[in-house]
Amino acid sequence: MAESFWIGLIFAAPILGFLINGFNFRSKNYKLAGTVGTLAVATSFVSALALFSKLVSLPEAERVITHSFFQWISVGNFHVDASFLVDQLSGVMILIITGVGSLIHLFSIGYMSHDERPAKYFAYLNLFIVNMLLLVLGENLLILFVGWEGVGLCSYLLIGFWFSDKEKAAAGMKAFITNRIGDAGLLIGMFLLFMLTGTLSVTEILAQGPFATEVTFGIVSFACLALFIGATGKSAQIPLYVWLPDAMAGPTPVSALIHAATMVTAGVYMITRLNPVFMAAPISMEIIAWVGALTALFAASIGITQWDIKKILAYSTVSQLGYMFLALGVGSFNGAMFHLMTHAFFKALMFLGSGSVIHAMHEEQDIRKMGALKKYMPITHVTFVLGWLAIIGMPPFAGFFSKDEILWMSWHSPMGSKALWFIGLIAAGMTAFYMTRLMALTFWGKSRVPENVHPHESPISMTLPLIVLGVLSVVGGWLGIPHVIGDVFGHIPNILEHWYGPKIVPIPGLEQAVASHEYALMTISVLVAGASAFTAYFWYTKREDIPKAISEKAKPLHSLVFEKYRVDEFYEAKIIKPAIETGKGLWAFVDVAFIDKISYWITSYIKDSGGGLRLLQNGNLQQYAFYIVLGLLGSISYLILG
Amino acid sequence: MPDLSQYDVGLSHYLLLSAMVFCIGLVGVLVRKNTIVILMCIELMLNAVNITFVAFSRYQGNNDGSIIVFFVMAIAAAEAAVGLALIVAIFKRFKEVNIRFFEHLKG
Repeated sequence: MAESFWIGLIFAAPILGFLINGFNFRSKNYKLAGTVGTLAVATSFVSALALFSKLVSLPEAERVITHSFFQWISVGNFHVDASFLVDQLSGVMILIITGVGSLIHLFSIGYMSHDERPAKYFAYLNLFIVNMLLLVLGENLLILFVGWEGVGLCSYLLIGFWFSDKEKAAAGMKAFITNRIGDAGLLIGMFLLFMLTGTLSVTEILAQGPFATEVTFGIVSFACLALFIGATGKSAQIPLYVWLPDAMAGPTPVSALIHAATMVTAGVYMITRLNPVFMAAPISMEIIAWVGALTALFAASIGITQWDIKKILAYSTVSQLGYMFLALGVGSFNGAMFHLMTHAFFKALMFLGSGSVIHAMHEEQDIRKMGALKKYMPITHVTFVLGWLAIIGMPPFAGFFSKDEILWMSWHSPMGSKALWFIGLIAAGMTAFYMTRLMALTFWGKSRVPENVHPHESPISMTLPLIVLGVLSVVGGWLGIPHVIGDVFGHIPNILEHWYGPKIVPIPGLEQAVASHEYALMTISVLVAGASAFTAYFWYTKREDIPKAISEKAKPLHSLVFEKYRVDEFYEAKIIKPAIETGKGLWAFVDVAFIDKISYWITSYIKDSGGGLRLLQNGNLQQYAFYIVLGLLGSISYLILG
Repeated sequence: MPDLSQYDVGLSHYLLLSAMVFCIGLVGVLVRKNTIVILMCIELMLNAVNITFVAFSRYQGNNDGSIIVFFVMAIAAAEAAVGLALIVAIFKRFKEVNIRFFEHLKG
């Protein structure tokens, strides 16, 4: 069938699902709503598969499917088409979005079975899929922006889904407002790109390349930096990451879909989409690399101290996104997209696994009240273990290949440095520590489950997505096996690198990899991760007194990290409060004293003149009769005199 | 028998009389507060017009004007019936028939 049909269907199905569930939003029939929602996304997934297979069947140089539905905006010689672009980058993205999305929809049916408003939930979720697809498929940056705002809206709606709880409603607002700040950056970046190239169409912008590298900080660097600020908002990087941990107030499948697998990777995708432009701005790239590396380290360290299972996963997500930006910054767009994919698998898996645990524990999220859940929830446990091995980077699980590519490139690429690699390595060690701590406290060790809670394995609709994602977390990394390992096993190609190749600008001055160096770095990172994982396992299952003693000894440091470096408090005191004070000042002095006065003066003037005129029409019949007489006299005198 | 030819009553006399009666009625409508009096003044104005009609009818030597007078009288009767009904209603409500109370009709 024609490409336009599949592109239409990929959007139409979730839109239809959104409309059906949206009009039926009072329905409490979670099975019906869930089936409609899941089928809608599954249909999208089928369309994505069709598009992807079409893409594969095309010759390598022509792997682009575009279709323009109509002209959206036409002002003077500025035109925006509602046109969509499926290529190597967006092709993989739509598979991830609709594939992982379908699994999470399926999982949600069981998870939301006790909820009051399941139809509304599925309507929002389908709307999210629509917007995410707009974001990745949009051929024009304006369409991307529509999707970008749309996913932000859905994220807000779903974080605050249980809005009767004030804290959760506030978390939704925080996410929305923080994202607005980033969006301002994105808009400025888009304006600058438009100024530079005269178009917002991605294909047209990239067709104007190759771009001359900017040695000093010029307009291209500024545009890239502005776009990156947009990315820090959506993809939760320093300094705008604060909304993501709070976003865990939403239902857990939402955290899996929006705040781990898809939406938060929008920034990574956007930068990769425009990678030839970013490669022309080495200064901005260096900033991106450093922000990414520091975010990875910073968030991982917070993850070590948290007790809320979802908060740990949230900081882990921030940290893994940091890795992706590190990869972007050192020019390894392939590594970033690779880690984006594997992270989507294993982090969605772990979020859904934590959802399964939370569901079984009757909405308990504190891992201090769990322990030894292995024997109650065997499937959740086994799949969680797969995700755990993937994220801490044990070969041959998915995370090993993607994380190692990032670490290797940050060492090897001329745009990277040893310091970046070292920060990445430390963060990897911390990742292994906090994830093992999570595993040990939740699934292993002694049971600390309260007596009135009886954990149970989740129904098949919830475990099936876990199993599928578990398998993907194992095999997902095999798509990007590095050459040094591939050569040993008889020339296994690095499929992903080959696939993305035509879309990605090669790093200038990249030397041939030295196999022994690459092996050495791999060994180091696996050893560091293994050692820290073992330490965490030993401490939290056998000797819980050791971490307690350490946190007692380093009390000031521990409480600083536990309170998330008090960044929220800092923002509150230094940014939000002054902003509110300024607002109040403007209100009192500008609005009340000046603008209001003008409008009051105008209204009172109009009111007075109206009051004067009102005397003419006061309801006194005799006065009206007098007007008639006056009119009569007037007409007569006109007839006689005129 | 005195000679009345020098006092011959012509068309202009009728019209003058009519104008005077009309003005009396008009002023009464504009200044009086008692609704019954106002109704009577309206009656005066209508009859002033009637005089004009009859005068012209006689002057022109046909009966067209006289016929219209019957219509005017019929309408005046109908108007008086409606007006008096309103006055009765107002009187029942306010125990007075001041024209100002008719403002309440605007709701």
